[in-house]
Amino acid sequence: MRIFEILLIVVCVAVVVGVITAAAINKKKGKHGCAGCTGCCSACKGCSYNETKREKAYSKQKTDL
Amino acid sequence: MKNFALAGNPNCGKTTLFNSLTGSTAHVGNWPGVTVDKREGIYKKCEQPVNIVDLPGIYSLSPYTPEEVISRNYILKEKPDCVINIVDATNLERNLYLTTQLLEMDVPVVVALNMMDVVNKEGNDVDAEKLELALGVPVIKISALKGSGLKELMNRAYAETENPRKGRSVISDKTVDKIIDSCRKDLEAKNIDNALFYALKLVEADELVVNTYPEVAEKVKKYTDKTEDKTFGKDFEALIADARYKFISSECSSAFIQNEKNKKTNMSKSDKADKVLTNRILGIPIFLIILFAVFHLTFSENFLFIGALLPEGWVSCAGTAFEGVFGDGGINSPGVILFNLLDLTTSSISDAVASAMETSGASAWASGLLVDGILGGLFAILSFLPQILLLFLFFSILEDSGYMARVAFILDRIFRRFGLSGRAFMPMIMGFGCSVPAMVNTRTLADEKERIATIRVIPFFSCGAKLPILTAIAGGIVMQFGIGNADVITYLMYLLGIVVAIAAVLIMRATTMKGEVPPFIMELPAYHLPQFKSLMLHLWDKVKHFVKKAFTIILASTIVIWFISHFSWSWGYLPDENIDSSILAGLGQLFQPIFTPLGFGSQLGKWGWVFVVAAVTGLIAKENVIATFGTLAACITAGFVADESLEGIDSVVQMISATGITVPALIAFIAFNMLTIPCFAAVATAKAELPGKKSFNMTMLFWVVTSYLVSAMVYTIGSWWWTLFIWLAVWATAITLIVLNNLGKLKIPSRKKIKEVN
Repeated sequence: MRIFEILLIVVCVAVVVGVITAAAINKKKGKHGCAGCTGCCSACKGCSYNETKREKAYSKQKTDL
Repeated sequence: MKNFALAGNPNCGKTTLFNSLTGSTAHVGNWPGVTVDKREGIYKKCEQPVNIVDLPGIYSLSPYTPEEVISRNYILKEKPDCVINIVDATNLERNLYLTTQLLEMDVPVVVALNMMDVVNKEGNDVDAEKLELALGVPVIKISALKGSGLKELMNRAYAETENPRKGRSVISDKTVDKIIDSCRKDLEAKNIDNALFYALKLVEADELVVNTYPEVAEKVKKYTDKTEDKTFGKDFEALIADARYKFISSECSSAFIQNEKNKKTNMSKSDKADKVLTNRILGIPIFLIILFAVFHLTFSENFLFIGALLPEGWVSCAGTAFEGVFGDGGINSPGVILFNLLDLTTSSISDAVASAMETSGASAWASGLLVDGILGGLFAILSFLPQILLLFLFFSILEDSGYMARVAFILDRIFRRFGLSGRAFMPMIMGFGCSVPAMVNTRTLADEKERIATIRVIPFFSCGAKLPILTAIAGGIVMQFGIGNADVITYLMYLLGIVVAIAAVLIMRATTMKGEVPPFIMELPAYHLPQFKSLMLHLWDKVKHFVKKAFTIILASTIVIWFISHFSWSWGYLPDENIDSSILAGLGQLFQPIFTPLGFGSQLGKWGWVFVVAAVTGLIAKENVIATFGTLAACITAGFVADESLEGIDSVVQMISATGITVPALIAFIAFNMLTIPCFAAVATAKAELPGKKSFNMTMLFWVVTSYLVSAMVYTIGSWWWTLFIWLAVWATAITLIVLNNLGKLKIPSRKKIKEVN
């Protein structure tokens, strides 16, 4: 096996492991990432899950004035 | 750091001001309700940096909608150092209603008279000094769009933070004056901030405040029980609202200086355009024509249908630099020209890499992985970027100009019959860009059942990620079968999504999601030319995320797909010709029978599993569908054609040739991918936005069942026309049962009762 071929395999493994790890870290941080999103990020709170959950419970806030 | 809050009515330009002050690129739309959450940024041009908070647009500080709760709680709890109240100067009286409520809070307020450029352009003006005297707070004329008056506004606001301000009421009505004052004193005695604001809310019988201060509320109740107004009776909320408007009318309205000429002609240019565009009869046909024009400009290979007027073979540019400009019969649309240009570039890169690999003596697998696997998959997706951007640009223009708000108004009449209000249309339209922000935007819908129904159908509005599926397969159908035009097929598929969404809502609202349709009141914004900067920012967002996604999730997926398509279950490497014995093929073949009723199952034989695998990889990100074709097409081709890298439409054409799939099955394949479970990100957002686990599980089931049923219908009716009658009979029976059940003539025993019987 040539160096180029070994390098190719290493890069491929790094990409796959990197993407999976990043997704896992994001999930742990409470962000689901933009895996399926193609834009509109500035309008979107989809990635700020902690905030989303906080605002989702706005009905709770109602009683907590 | 000091905190300034931006508060104002919906669509008064808060986010435009926020972007101008902070240099942010937050989404700005010419329709009310773009911002459903607060966001923050820093303004650096004051003495000290200032934190700016953009609050959602509200009409009042009564907690009727989630936006009002968010804004009101922020001002009361976070206590900003200053509230900048943005007032749309073109609509002064209505906007000042909120101002009168903000004045009651113990917080410095500065009024920013926005859109002064529009007011001046129409020959009108506002006397800011007069308004300042009436309101008792600084009033600054600005234009957030042009950036004028912003420095003065921020300096005045900064100066105001040095002077603590006590709330002031503009209410002057003898029926309530005493009780408001008495409540205020009681609250002040308890050291409660914003005492005047709460006192007024207690008289208005604001539920939240009544529950928070029950003792004072009791006192108010005793008073209101024995008091009655001549006009409003015991409706003190209406009495106070009337008192506010009386103040605005007597003290503030005269500050608006109207041009003599305008006084005579009350009709603005927007009003004149609306006479046609929102016409009862013409409104919907005009919308459909505009939508078709957008698709035609983006996808047509026969621009303006000019090919019909030209003799056959009038121009032959095959193999020349102009090949991408001219289609078979005529001139390509701008979208197709850009697509062809990028396709030419990506093909050249693939060819160069392939020949470099060959020259360096790389093994077949390495060449296959890099050229067919990685580049084939990536380029299959990237080549569609120009068309996605162009389509998105047109949608942004329609949105920014104010036309989309009109469409919501036009469609309200139809939506209402199906159990939705026109307000639900805005998130749906956002779904054309991406389902994630669209689902978040459903927070503007007050009725929970309407919100759930809207979230469920949002993925049916084909997003940018699904566009490569539509375009590539439509292009493949045209190239392989010579049927129709790519733009017409794509347009019809978009319409199919809309029709299925409407039908699904109708069924949901008639069965599990019954409820009243809330009234739809929306202020129609004035038409204006879209801002170039705003449009470019939208597009830049799109490019950034598309490329980021292509080089992360899509790249990783293509690598995994290539590997598991080139290894057998015994982990032996398989050359391209034998990938039908691979792990991927095995998995695909396992699920293949499930898709037989949809036309891309067992009937496709040897290579049919590719369609199943593509549909499943699409669950990660929809672009993966065509990336999978791109990765696998070259391997399948290796069985019968000389090795070559295939991308986009070519890869689909190759799949059609290899599998013998029919046109109805291809359409069913598009329909399935459009309507089934969306990508991971959208699923995660739906989970966060839906009220409970049960509701989320039902939504997942709903997506699977709807996509399966619709695709099966498309395939069977397309293949055997007479099955149309069978489907009609099935639907007629289902509808009859629903109607009978709703009329109470059908008694379906509840699950509980069935359990009891057993």
